[in-house]
Amino acid sequence: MKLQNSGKFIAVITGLFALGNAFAAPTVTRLNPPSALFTYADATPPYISRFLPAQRFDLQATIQADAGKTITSVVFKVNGSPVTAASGASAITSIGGDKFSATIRGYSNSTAGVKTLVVEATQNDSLVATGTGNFEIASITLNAGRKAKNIIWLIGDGTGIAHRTAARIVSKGASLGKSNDPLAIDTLPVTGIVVTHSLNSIVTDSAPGAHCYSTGNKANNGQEGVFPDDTTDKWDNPRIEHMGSYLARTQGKWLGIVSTADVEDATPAAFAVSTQDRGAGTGICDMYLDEAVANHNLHVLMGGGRKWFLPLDGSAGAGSGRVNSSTSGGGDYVVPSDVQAGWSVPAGSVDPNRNLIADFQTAGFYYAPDLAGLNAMTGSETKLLGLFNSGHMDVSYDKIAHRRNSATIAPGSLIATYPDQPLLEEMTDKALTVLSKNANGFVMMIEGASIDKQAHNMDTERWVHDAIEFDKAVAKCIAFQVANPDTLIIVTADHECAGIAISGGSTVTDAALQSTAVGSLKGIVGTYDNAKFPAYTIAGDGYPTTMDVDYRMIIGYAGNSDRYETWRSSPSYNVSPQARNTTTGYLVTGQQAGTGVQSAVHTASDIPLSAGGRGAAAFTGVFDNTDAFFKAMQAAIGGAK
Amino acid sequence: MNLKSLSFVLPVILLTGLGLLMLAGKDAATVAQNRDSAAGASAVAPLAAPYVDSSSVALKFEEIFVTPAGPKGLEYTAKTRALDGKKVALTGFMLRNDNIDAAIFFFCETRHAYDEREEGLADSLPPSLVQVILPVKKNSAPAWRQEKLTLYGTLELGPRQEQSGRVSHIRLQCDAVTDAATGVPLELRKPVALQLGRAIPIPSDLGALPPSTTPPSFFNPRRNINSTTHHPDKL
Amino acid sequence: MKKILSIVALAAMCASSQAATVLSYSFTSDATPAVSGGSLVGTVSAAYAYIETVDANGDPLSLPSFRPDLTAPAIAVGDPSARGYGAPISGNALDAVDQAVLFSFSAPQDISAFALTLDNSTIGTPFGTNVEFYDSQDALLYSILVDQTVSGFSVNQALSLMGVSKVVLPSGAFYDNASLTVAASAVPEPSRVLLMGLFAGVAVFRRRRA
Repeated sequence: MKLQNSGKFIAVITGLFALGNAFAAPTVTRLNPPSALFTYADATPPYISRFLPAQRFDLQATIQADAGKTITSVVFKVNGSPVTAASGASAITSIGGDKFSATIRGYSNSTAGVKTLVVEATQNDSLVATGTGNFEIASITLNAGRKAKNIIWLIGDGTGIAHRTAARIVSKGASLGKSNDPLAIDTLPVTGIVVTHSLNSIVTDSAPGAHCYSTGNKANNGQEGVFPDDTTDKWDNPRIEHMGSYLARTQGKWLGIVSTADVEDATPAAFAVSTQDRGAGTGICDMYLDEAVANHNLHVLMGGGRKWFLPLDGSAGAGSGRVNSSTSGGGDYVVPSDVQAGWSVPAGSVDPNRNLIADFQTAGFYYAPDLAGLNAMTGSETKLLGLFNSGHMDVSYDKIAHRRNSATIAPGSLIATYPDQPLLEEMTDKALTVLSKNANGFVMMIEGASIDKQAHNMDTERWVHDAIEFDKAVAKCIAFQVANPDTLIIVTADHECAGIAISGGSTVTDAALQSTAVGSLKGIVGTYDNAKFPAYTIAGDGYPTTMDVDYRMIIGYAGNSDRYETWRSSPSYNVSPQARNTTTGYLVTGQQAGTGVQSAVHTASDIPLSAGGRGAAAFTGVFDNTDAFFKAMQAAIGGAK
Repeated sequence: MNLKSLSFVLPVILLTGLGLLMLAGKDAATVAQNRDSAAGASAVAPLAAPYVDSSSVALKFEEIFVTPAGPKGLEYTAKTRALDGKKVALTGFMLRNDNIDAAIFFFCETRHAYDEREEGLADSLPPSLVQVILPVKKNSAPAWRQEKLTLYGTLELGPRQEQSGRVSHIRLQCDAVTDAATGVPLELRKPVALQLGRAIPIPSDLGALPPSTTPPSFFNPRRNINSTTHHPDKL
Repeated sequence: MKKILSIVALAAMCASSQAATVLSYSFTSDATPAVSGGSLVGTVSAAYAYIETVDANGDPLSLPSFRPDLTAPAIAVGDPSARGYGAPISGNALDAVDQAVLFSFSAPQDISAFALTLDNSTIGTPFGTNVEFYDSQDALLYSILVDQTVSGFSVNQALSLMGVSKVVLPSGAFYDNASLTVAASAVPEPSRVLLMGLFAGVAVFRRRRA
């Protein structure tokens, strides 16, 4: 009796076990390049991942194997044909939790059209997992006209439509209903509207916001030059070839990166580097030399961020920020062997004591630590490295104040330490001089970085001033384009920052504002007819004599946190909105929740893009930020009338 | 329990509860002081005599590095180098940023903003930033205060990589924290559990695409519909 | 006698389409060919070009048409190594890096051979680069794939193309030692058909008179 029952019991258990095994199967949980076909079983456009003909990118799949099993082989097929990887340029790696990552590095396709991507992963018990996605190879019309030999991307970080209007009101003025003069940006003949969503949110940050222009693809927030994967390793993600690299190898162009930010910051790095962590400064700056100088013809790199280029042991001075990769926070880079083989890049190493400035100089770069260094150039230099601050460069508001009066040093700024930092138009000028030496032209990115940073801080005077500085850099490029008609200029942004709005004009003079009681500060905002025409005077150096004028322009912030508003300039730089003017300003509460330091945030608003020169006509209409890459590349590869 | 004992117990409970609430609402400094008998700060009630340490040398932030900077890295001034390992007094402001390492906070000449989520390690913080180490005691860690502070402690120079990934160059092993205006000692430590504003360290981004295991037949956000059978293009 | 005359006239016209002329381009100083083996019927010109897709009213053309770019500079020749396009080529080469080059025949030609050499670099447009042959109606007659990423890529083909009016070299590279073997085409253009008919009509008339 008992035996019989136990027999039945065993039979039932075995049966259940068999049933359970029948349900066990490996699954593909991620397929790169990303597609709606894979994520939502939707094969219709818009196609998420798009590439130029012959633009290199990685194929990657994450496979969840059954418990205790391994994945023994993986085949990628494009339109039914298996893809053969170059020698050593593929891998199947165990990434823990019975997960495996399979890659083929450096794939490319030269035929235009939508392609179906299938991955077939075989488990060691012969079970097969499949995943299906798609991507598009864009159509480029060759021989459509003369090519754009030089491409200049000017990115006003965080610059939405209202940032431009504010800069115009202050620097050009308006009266009797018309602007007295246009911004340099306004003189560009073509303007379009750009949608800025990132791969994982309607609100992007600066990494996908610049990566879209450099690679034509989407990225997750915080990631640049790569698609997301399932490993914590910052350097193993599936890569996409940058515009600088593509144009270097197919047209011999040079690459230039100029920013008022720390050069490891997202916007500059997104034009040369591939990492899932925009904060991995040591590795990012190493990659500029090891990959971008070696393979993308990087000839100009300027901005702040000197700390990443100094050895940690202090042998070139204190203040180094070089960290090794043993911590969660910072990162030096070592790339896996399949990346090395597929992209022809060095392995990299954890070298906190690397003297990166010296290494750049050995590679032939002229090094300028300040404006005097820039002005000392002979004019024959073909490679230029400028590192003007240990972190982000100081803003134009404080730089100009110091130039006008050397005793003026804004508290909280680094002007005492770095008193001779150049303005963006001065950096642009030198970059153009160097890059235009190349008979085959160049692609350059120039960033006005602190429009965004000061908008985050809701420091109105400082971001408006930086927007004016940015416009002057645009003017330099327009003058270059007039002299070199085969140049394409694109003035754009990565996203809008802080929900800026020009809500009116002050109804009181600056003197009256200073003596207005805190409780009455709200009442000085003149709306509608009472806004009138705020008027600022421009000094001989091209910047406002003061931002504290009578009946000033009033700015409101929609994507904001709490701040204390006095409507007047803050003498100190970079003080948190909650800690600034706490007794002299009135509390304007914001809508941002969350922990840590609170500031204004990026918004999902569309941003304006203006273009001029060879191929500019394509930049009209409402389009995705990745489309701007393809419009520019049409002009560079296929030409335009 | 009968009604009688309830009428006794209930008010006691209520009163105790009120008392606890009052305690929690009280100055955290007092609470902490009541807990710590051997605190680093002198265990006195507030409004007592100012902290005095005649062996400390006052060091200003602008005296730490030679300014302006040279073309490469920064140089410590002779005064700063002489103070390495010695007792110093530093006056400035706490940076409002909660470190991964709870015992550490940053100290600057001026009030600063630092948004780690936005900036990571690419920031505008001055290189003369001092990293102050104030060990955690009984689950209480330094919490941000807005006052101008004077810190007393031992100066430590030299590059060192911290848990957050940041490299520190100037550190202060802190003995005492005082209000810069009055000299009165302050207790920075607050129970970590009560530090509601403590920033959560940024998790490493594993590329959170919408999970592909979401059954596509139920909802396709690209068509804003609930079923793939009712495709607008197929109408 | 006059009968024979007319036939000779007709024969003479046919005969002129049999002689093969070789146009050789060394691109030493410009894009003018050396002509040998015969004389070229009509003219050939070279200019930087672009694809026109709309007519004067902005309406789409039935076929895209290569046109000389009147805003472009004159054809440039040079040493590719000066632009980083590989080893020096003494005697210069045609610089088609920035823009395609269009060779236009005023009279359609039959092409029986074509040769071309590219520069000695791997820099070039990595896809879709074809030498293209169009007739007078902009119909594509033939295309030859040239790989600009192969150093010293060369083409040497026997062809039998009739009525070629345009030859396009794609942008992205330097070209040298181009050679076309041409003969005036017997393929009637619409206007040519009219002309031949006129001659025939005149000849018939003369005979009748006699």
